[in-house]
Amino acid sequence: MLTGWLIPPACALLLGLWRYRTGPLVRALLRRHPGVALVFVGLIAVATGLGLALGVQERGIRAGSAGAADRFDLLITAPGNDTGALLAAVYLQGADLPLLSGETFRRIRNDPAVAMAAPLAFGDSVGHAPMVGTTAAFVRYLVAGDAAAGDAAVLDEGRLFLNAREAVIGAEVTLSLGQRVEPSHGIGGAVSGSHAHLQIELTGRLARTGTPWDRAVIVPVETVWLAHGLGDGHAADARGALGPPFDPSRMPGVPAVVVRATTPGGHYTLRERFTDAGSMAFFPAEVLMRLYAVLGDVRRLMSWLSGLTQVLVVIAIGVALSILLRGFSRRFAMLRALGAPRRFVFSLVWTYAAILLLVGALAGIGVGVLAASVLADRITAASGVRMPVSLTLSDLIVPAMLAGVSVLLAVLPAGLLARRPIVADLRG
Amino acid sequence: MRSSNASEGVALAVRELCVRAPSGRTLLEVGVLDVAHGAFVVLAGASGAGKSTLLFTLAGLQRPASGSIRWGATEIATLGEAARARFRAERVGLVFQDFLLFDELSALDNAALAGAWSARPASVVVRQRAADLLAWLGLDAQDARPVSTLSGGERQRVAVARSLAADPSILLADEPTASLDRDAADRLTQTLRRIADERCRAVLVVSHDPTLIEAADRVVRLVDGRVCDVAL
Repeated sequence: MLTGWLIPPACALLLGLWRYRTGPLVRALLRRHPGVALVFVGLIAVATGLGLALGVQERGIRAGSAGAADRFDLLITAPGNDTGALLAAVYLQGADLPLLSGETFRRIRNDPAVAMAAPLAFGDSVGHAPMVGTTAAFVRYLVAGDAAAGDAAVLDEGRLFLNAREAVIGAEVTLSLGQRVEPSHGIGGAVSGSHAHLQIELTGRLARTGTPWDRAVIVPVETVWLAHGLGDGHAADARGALGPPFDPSRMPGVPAVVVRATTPGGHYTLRERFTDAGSMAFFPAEVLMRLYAVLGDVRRLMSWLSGLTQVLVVIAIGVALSILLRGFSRRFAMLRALGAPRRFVFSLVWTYAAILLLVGALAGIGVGVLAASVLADRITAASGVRMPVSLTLSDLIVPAMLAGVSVLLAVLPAGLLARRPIVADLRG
Repeated sequence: MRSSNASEGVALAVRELCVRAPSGRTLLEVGVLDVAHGAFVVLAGASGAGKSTLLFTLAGLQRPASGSIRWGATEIATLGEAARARFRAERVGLVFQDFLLFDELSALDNAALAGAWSARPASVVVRQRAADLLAWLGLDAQDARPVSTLSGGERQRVAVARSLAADPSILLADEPTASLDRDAADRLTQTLRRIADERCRAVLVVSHDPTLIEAADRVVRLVDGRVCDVAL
């Protein structure tokens, strides 16, 4: 398909530069009005780039968001909105979720199919960074893919938290190790008070994950409970301990539990087992697929709009090209007066147009990648999700199509100019 | 006016030529006009008299309503568009009042323009001939500067080189000295004269320039589209 669209420009260039030697004349025409030529190229580049950026960006959003959810094999929350739970647990977007009870957490953790069950507690913040409570094992799994990974694989500097008054920070958090911070209740604009009684020391900085967790302050889940004056969830004889097991009767509850099964098939068993009146288990990937479907619809709509814009741009380019070429009509008449056949003039005009359009389309690839990179940076800055920007062969279809259609349409002004009356044009 | 020493033989024979505008109005009527090989002929007359129309018709740029235009053995009045283009490419050199050069190209690129639509071996010959002609006309063929940097006289000589690069047997010029200062005009006049004399080309020039008229073998005067006087 890609090659198909490139046939018209290839024909124009072959005819113009090989069959006839229009190269110097095309250069002369390009130099005659360099500003206008640049505007043409710019217009085509922008029209092409927008369509291309759309595709690249959409793919980046899919890859980035899916990558961020990689370590969240199965999420279990209280029954409710799985999309909201996903956004809160994986993307750390503030949400007020109902809590799972300590008894439910005990059931999950003790299920023989569960290899790791980590509570996730969120809703507080430190400065602009969301604060998340979980276990050291999940932090290791999140960063290194292994719940038993050593500190070197997990941390860029410092060490993991060892008690409820310590925290680690994500790779992009601008706080310093050794600093003591006070968590606040709520996130961002929804902050509604300080947990001033709790001072937390930052002991380590995690390696980069490319997820919103890079911007979070991560504490033991007990810290979140303590911040709210709810105790630490452990039995009286285990006071000061970190992580499971918790005492179900003392555990204040958690909004989400991230679960890793002992086998890949185990995730399906667990999903079925913990989807009941008291809990809801779901695969983040499934929720993302639903979101992607919506994204796909939006993309289709935007593609139509972008396509419509490109059609309008092609028409505008065609009209502007015709006007520009009319300015050269005396020179073309001179060529024909000197004996140049009509097909030579046709070929000259067509090659000139094809070069403008091809350069524009090529520049459009650059514009598209640049626009996609800028957008990706913006989205990463806003969400913390790293957006990969990569160009595939299918992305080149849009510029190739635009160039192909435009070059085909350029046959029209080229043909008309080659048939203009010589004497009338010579007389100007 | 210079006395004729033109070569033997008729290069151009025009008979009962009539050119009409698309509206049907008669623009030009020429009963008989013969031009010998190597003759230097000036077409003179007031503005609107039909000089340029005659020149363009003789070049095959405009089709006559009736009559005959025979360049050597070739009758061009009845030729189709493509055949007339071939005829111009092979037999006719044209020089315009305002040069009509590609300002962005060098003198050689302009002079060798005909090579662009010639077959490859011929294009090499055209380029070599263009370089020789530029030298013959006192210009540097190696000068890569765009012709926009040259003087008016130099640019018109580039246009003359371009008109001769395909080795035509006829040179037609429309007011070639009109855009030039006196010195440049005189030099161009000598050049055109040399083309007729040394290269034995039929040279037809539309002009009011007294110096050109003085240098011509013949002056054909047109009044209201009719040849009214042929001065020898």
